[in-house]
Amino acid sequence: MRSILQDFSHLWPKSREAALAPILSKVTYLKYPEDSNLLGLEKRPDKVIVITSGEDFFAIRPFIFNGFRHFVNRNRSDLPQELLASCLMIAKPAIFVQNPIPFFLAGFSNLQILTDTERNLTISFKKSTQKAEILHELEEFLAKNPKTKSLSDICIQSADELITNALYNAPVDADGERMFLNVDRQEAVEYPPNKKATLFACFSDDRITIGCEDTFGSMTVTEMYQYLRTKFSSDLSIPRESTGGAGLGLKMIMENSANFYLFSERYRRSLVAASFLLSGLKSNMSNRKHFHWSVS
Amino acid sequence: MKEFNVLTEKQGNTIIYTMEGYLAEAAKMPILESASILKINLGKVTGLNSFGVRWWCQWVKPIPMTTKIFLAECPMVFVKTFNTVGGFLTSNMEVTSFYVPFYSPVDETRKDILYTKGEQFTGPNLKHPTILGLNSTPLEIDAASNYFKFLERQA
Repeated sequence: MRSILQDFSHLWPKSREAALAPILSKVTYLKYPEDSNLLGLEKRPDKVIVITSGEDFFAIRPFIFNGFRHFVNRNRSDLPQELLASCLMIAKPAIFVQNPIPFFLAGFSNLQILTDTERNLTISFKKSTQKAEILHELEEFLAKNPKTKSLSDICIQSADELITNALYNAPVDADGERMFLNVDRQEAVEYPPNKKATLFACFSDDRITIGCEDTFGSMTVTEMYQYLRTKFSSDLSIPRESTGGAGLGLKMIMENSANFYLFSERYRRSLVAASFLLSGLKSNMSNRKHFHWSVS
Repeated sequence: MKEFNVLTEKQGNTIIYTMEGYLAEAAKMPILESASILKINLGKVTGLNSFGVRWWCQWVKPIPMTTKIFLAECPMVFVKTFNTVGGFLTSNMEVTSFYVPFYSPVDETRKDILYTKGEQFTGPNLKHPTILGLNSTPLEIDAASNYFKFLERQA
C-alpha cells in the first residue's frame, strides 16, 4: 500500500516534514486511470485518496460508486494543498473540524487573508426571504475586484444553490425528519429559533471560496451516495418536476467550480463549499476538479 | 439582483418575449399564447438558478413542436445549461445568437462577445473573431471544452 508520505512528501517544504509526516503517513492513495483494476479491492475506500490525471471528471464514476470520497487532480498547481486537505480530513478529522475554512482557501499558507475584511464576507441567515438580499450583498462584494467580478455569474449561481440547500434540504426536526425537503421553493421557510446558517466568501490572490455552513449536520452517507449515483449516472441532468427543488443544485456547483467540498458532522453541522480559480471561467469549468466529501 | 421581468410584443403570427433579470423562484413566466413563431431575447438575463432551469423547462414543454422558437443573445449561463440539462434546449429551438466569454490574461478581466448565426457560426461551424484587449493583446476564449456542443444539435 502506497502512502502519501512515501511518494508525495517532496511537495511540501522540508521545514514542514516533521509536522506533516504523522498525517501523510496514515493516508494511502490510488492513481486514476493506472490503478482502475484495484478499485474493488479497497476495504476502506473512504480513507483512500484517488489521484486523478484525466480531463474527464465524470470518468471517475466507478470510484465514486465504490465508496471513494477524495479526488485530487495531479495536473493542478494546487495539488499540495488539496492533498493536505484530504489527508487531514481522513487522518485528523478532529483538527480539520475545528476550522476547515483556511484549508479550502489556502492550505494554511496565508492565514492573514482571513482577517482582511476586504477579502471576506460572512452573512448569517435563518429564513428564505433573506436570500435575495444575501445574493445582492455577495454580488457587490464580487464587484469590488476585477478578478472576482469576472466570475460573478457562476459564483452567484453557486451561492444561490448553497443557500437554498441550507434552507430547504438541511433542516431536520427532533426525529431527524426533513422539515422542508418537499416544500415548494416559492414558499417561504424559516429555521427553528436555535438554528442558523452562514454564507461565507473569501478570496486569496488565486481563488475565491464560497461556502455555506448550517447547524443541522443532517447529511447521511446513504443520502450522499444516492445523490452522487443519480447525478453522475448521466452527463445530462433532468430537472425534477415534483414538489421541492429541481434536484440540480449540487451538481451545478460542482460543474461551476474547480474544487468542491462537503463536510458533515452528524447533528452538529454541515459545510458545503466551492472554490473558484481567479484565472477565468475555463479553469473552473474544466473537468480537472478536486472533490472531497466527508460525512460522519 | 435585478428582478425577472418579461416584455411581450405580438407581431402577426410572431410573439416576441424580451426577458431580463435573474430567473429564479420569484420569476413570473408569461402565459403562453398560440403563435407559429416565438422570438425570445435573453440578452438582459443576468443569471438563473436550478429552480429557474426547472421554470424554463416547464414553460417551454407545452409549446407545440410545430412552433419555431428563436433564442437571441443567450448569456453564458444559458449556453452552459443547453449542454448539461435535458429539455432546456428543445428540438424546435434555434439559437440565433449567443455570448462567448473571452478572457484577458493581461488585466484578468472577462468580455462576453456576441456570436451571431451566419457571421461567427453556421450550424456547428465556428469562425472565431479576434478580440483585442489591453495593449492590443488578443483575448482568449474562456469557455469549457463543451461550450459549443449544443451547436451540433442545431445543424
